[in-house]
Amino acid sequence: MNATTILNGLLMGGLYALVALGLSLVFGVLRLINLAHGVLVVGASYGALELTQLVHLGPFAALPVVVVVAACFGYGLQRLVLTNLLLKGTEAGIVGTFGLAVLGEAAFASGFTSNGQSLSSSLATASIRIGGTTLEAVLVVATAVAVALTAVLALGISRTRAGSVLRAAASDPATAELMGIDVRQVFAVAVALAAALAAVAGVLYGVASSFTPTSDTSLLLIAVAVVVVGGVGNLTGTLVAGLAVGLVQALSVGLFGGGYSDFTVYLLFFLVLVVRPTGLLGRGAL
Amino acid sequence: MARTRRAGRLLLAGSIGAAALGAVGAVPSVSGATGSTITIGASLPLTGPLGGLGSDQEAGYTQAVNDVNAAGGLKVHGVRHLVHLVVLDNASDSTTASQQARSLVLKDGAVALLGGATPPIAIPEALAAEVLRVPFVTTNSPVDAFAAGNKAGWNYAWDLFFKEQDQAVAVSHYVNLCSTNKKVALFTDTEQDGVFQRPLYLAALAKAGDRVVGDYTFPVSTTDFTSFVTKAKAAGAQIVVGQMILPAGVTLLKQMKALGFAPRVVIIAKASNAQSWVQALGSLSEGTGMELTWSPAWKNPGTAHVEATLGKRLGLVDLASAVPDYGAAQVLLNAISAAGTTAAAKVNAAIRATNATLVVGHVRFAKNHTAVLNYAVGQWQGKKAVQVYPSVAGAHLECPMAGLK
Amino acid sequence: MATATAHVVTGAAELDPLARRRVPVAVGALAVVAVVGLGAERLLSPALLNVGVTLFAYVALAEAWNILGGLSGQMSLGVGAFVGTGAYSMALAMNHLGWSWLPGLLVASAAAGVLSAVLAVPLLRLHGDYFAVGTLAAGLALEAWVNNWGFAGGSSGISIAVGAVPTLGTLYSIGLVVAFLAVAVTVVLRWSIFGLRLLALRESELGAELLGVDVVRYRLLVLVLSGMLTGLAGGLFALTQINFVPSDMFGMTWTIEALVMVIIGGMGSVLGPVVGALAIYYGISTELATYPTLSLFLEGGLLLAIVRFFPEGLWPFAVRRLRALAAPARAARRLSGVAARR
Repeated sequence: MNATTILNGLLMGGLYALVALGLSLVFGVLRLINLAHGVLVVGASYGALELTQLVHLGPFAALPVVVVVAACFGYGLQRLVLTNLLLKGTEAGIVGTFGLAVLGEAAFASGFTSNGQSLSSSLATASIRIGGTTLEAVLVVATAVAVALTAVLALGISRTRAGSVLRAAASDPATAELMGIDVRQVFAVAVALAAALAAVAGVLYGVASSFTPTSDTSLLLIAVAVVVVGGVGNLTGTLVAGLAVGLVQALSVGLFGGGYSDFTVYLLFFLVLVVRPTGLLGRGAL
Repeated sequence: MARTRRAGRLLLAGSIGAAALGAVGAVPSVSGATGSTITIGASLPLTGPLGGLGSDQEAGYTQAVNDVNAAGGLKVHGVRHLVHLVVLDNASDSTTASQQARSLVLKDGAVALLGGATPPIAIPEALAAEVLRVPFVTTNSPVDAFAAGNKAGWNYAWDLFFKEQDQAVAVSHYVNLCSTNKKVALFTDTEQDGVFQRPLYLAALAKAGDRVVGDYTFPVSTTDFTSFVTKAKAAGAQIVVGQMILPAGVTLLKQMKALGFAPRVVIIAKASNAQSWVQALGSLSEGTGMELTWSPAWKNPGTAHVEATLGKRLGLVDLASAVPDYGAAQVLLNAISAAGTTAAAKVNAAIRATNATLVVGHVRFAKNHTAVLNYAVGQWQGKKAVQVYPSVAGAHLECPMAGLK
Repeated sequence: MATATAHVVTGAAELDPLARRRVPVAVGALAVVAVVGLGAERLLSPALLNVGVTLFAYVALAEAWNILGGLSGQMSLGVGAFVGTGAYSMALAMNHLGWSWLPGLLVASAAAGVLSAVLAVPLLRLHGDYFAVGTLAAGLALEAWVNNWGFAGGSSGISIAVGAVPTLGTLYSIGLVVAFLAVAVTVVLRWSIFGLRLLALRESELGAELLGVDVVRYRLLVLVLSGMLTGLAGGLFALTQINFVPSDMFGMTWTIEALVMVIIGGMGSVLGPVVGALAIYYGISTELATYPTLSLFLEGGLLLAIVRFFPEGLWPFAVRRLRALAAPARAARRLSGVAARR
């Protein structure tokens, strides 16, 4: 066990937090476990791949395009599909987004084959030296982006007028509606934002690692674990939980060998859920 | 609003009606092979994590059947019958594979089955064939893992592929073609074959005089190798041997490069033996080792034919992966032809009696129902796979590997 | 909201005092069907027997999920934990104790029941989405652990001796009995006073508590019953698959299949899961296996269409339509009542 192991664990956790951020936002605002979140992340990876191959853009040059497309997709998704489902209760939301996830996997498999893909970028193989330790540049970037986005979102939600509208719509949609807030519009913007966050995560994940049409499941599972451990509606909690999950995974590998790393993470997930259902940092502002 | 709801209902009602009609139309017929064609079934992982292997399998099996049909079919009871291959997609799911294997025999009337790739898929299929007493020939399952799949011993199921020990020994020879400090970092996942292969690698590397300075195991879906890579680098390993799936392998290579770990020779078995390894990694893959379960350099009879047919559609790597499947189908088709009947016991006896040099190599089944095929190690050079162990004329190992330098 | 409405429509008979007689009548009718089914074993072709075995196992799986999710409102995303426990405990008992399939299946059911009771201690602290996520976490942790459990073969999995596997005809009969049990348990739970209390619990836990329902006891009982039936289904799947690795039996697939079948067939209804199992296993999975990904597209599309246009599911929708055809006046009255409640 040394500083490098702990630092790398934390950085991996930063990537987890980034993947979980959009899920956390939707869970907090719409009270919806978006089972299609993993598909949004992987969809962005495939979108960037398509752009890099078609117009020979680097993944990061493709990023703005992918983010905008994802946001539009998220907005349309909420307006055309999810709103109607959510009116029917949370069950319908879970089942409907699950249906979307199945459709997404089918679309990736038929559009891109089942083979593993990866986004190539010089960032993936670059490193940063701090003192005696070498850190992966892409993970440092992912963690920095996760911290920055969390800070912007958390401040935006707590300090701005748009943020208070979002909080009002989240905590009591009916009353918010009476006060003249267009709740449907607010929800659609929230899902658009979440899809954009998922897109950022997807591109960075695709650069750092690789993806297949069924990668969405493992991404969704780790994101759900992170969101629940951090506390629902608590974006700062999501960031902290992401880092914690990465750290615990690294420590478990150091202590018990690699075989138990999944087990440790899911056990942590289960224990936090039953001991402190509101998450490590408690319910958030949303 | 009301209109869209009604439209949706009509649409759904229509599709349910269609599904019901389909179900009625598809009432199972238990005709067996009484028609003019002989039906052979295969439940393959065409989609899902094993989709790459599965599509090579479909190509290999289909080519073998097409070749037989082009020659007029199989002679059974003195009459020529065309062969009909029914391929189902099990989406890399063992439960589905097992169900489909039974359904292929009972519903589609398959007289014999060809297997799907990897032991977790092939063994449940083989057990279904065993219970139904139908001949089953597979490949893409290393022979010892397959033999261990039925403790009572196989009767109707046969496997032709490389032997795990041969793989470990070949890999140890491959890494020692390069001059290094003989320090090895070993990465194996906790999947079935990773667990099976790890002690064999340890033994083979020790025998070759190498020292394993890092022995790392991890779950199959791992995306974080940083602590292992850091340790391996600190331990000064110049050899990396691994056994894992493609997404894990790609991530490992990227993290090795990022963390400045540049071993002189690298082979990641399983992950690297597909063209998608090169597509995913680009120049990073240059000089990595890869497995070849077939090579045109072996000059087996029929090599030119598979190159001219299968090879036209597939690159060398996919061809190398598809030829064992072609061979497995050939073994089965030849056995039906030799038996002169589709009766299970006679076909099975003919498979047992197989003793021929085919395009995959010499096939002769041992008592445990497996036939050991050759195994070679190649290297990715200029995005092409080149066999370097056993050595062939005109090819040599690029050492140190270029991708990580 | 909409599911509640659906219940008022399709299950209006619950409020009828005569309805209690429906339980013995329905169970009797089911028993007759099961006996006829058992008698038919010799007449059926092996192909049909084979379809039957898998179909019955899926019916039990779906019905067990329905009891938990549909009747008591506790959505489980950890079905694999119970399927896997059933499959593994049976295989271990058969391999190490030399037991035959019959005590093996009983062990499968008992072990999954025990797991439910143990997990209930932490899980019953959770409600709604949190319960769903809790079952998910428990299932994932258990799968990750079994992958490392050397005694049960670790990630290499486990095999049942081929000689100990019952014949196709016997498997068919076992499947029929298991499916009968699952549907009969649903009938009893759904159409009894017990079931009424469960419905109250599902609509509002607090409300049910105020009405004097012992919420924890009811939730526990449903959890254990559902676990036992799921374990039984797992044992049956294990007997047909013979060899399996942890991800086969503990994986997410079982949750997906159960959820899809129940939602499409009709959540909370007695025969909905049966219809769902038939539609998905027979209509989609089997018939479309030659077209990769097409069945995925259809399943995803169906799920969306169902929750969007007929949230009550196919079977209750069909029943409602048939009733409306048979007794237009009565149905019209009832539907207008529903509209008023909306």
